[in-house]
Amino acid sequence: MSKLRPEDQARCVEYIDGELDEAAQLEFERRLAHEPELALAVERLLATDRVLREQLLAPTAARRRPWSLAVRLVASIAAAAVLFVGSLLYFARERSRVAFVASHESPLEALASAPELRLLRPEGLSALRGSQDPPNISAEDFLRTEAAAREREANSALKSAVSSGEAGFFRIALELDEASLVYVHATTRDNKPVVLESGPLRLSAGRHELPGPRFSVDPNQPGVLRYDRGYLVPVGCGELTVVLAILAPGHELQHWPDTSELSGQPRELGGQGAEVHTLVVREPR
Amino acid sequence: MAADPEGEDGEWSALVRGDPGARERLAKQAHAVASAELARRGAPLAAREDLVQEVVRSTLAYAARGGPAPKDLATFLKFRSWGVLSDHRKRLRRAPPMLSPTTELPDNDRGPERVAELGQLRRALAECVERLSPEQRSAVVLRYQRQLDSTTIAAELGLHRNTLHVRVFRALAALRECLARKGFGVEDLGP
Repeated sequence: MSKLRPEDQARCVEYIDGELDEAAQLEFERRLAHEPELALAVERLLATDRVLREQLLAPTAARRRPWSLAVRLVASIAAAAVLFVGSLLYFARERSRVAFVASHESPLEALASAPELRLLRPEGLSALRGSQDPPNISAEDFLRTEAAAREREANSALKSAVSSGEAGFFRIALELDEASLVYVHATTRDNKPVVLESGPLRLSAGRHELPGPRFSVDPNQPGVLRYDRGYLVPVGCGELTVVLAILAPGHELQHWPDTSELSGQPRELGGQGAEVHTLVVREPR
Repeated sequence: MAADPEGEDGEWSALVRGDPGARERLAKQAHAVASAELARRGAPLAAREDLVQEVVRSTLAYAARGGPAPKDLATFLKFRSWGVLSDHRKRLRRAPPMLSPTTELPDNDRGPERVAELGQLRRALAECVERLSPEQRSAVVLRYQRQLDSTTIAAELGLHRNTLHVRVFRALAALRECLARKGFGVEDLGP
């Protein structure tokens, strides 16, 4: 572990993130030229940061074999059959509803996706939108309008139990009858784990949108709106299978099955008292 | 590149005194180091010369303003190159999502060995991320998987930005060590 002082550790991260202004950057670079230990720490940080950005975001695309389409078709039918039977078994005690909702990379696309938002230019979003047009709605009014639009979208998705779709970014609409512990787990087509949440989520009863609201006021910059794109479908993964395991309060999963056993997972998790939902998100072609 | 602190300090001081020859020599050295460093860091070819010029410009301006002479000029120029490249990437991220001549394109030319190697690396990385403390794992997931910026992550985790940065630093150090134990030296996985 580095012997650097915490303030230097923080400075190193600010530096590699390009958060320093030019004067501070130059001063830090002068220090790097004087302090080999600090320079080594930055070199290592840069190398590790690059590996994480490349590898956590871009799983290798599975190489397709000539028969893979047929195999996938059969597997999909089998999986659908298993899910259908599974859903019948669990229907009687269903205490949550889950649906896939497509999301968008930019706030501009998100606004364009809903008719009532299309013409809105909220205050505090101009920098993100790259538009020179003056705002025509306050941030608070915009958030109310946007919440109503998303509520309708989530209602529709939950009512239709949308469990799959094609998107580069996505969100999960979730309705809980009681406070629950929610595990979110994802794997690529070739069973590589993709971390969507760092641990189980403790959620209250009611409606939720994961990973969180699309638009919100930046707590550090009052009056500025920020946009969250939702979960990323890693480039090249082809398809992401997302499994949600929902447990009643006071229960925890004893273990999460190995990713190589993903296909058997719903039954396995059900055995641990979890209500299980599976969503499939296809990467856009 | 080996540094010659005495000579460089002399050039730097001469530049501060207004010696035009010193300016030219320093510019030449900055150009050489920046060209090599930006190539090593994978700076986009179309933008590389502009970035090199920016390294030269900012270094000369810093010296002319009376900035203290770096002890090791080559190291200073190497990191100056990173600083300029980092700013360039930041500008690209802010730009509309469209391809431009300076957009870096992903390398899709991967042979079967490279694909297998990357698969092993990703598995190792996933295991290492799992072994982080929950606090460090949250920071890593929000930063790399969700691609959120520090301000947003700090707000989401209820942390001061400095605390978050220390957490990120320590998480990356732990991941680097974990990967090294599994046979992956991150410095050897260069672009």
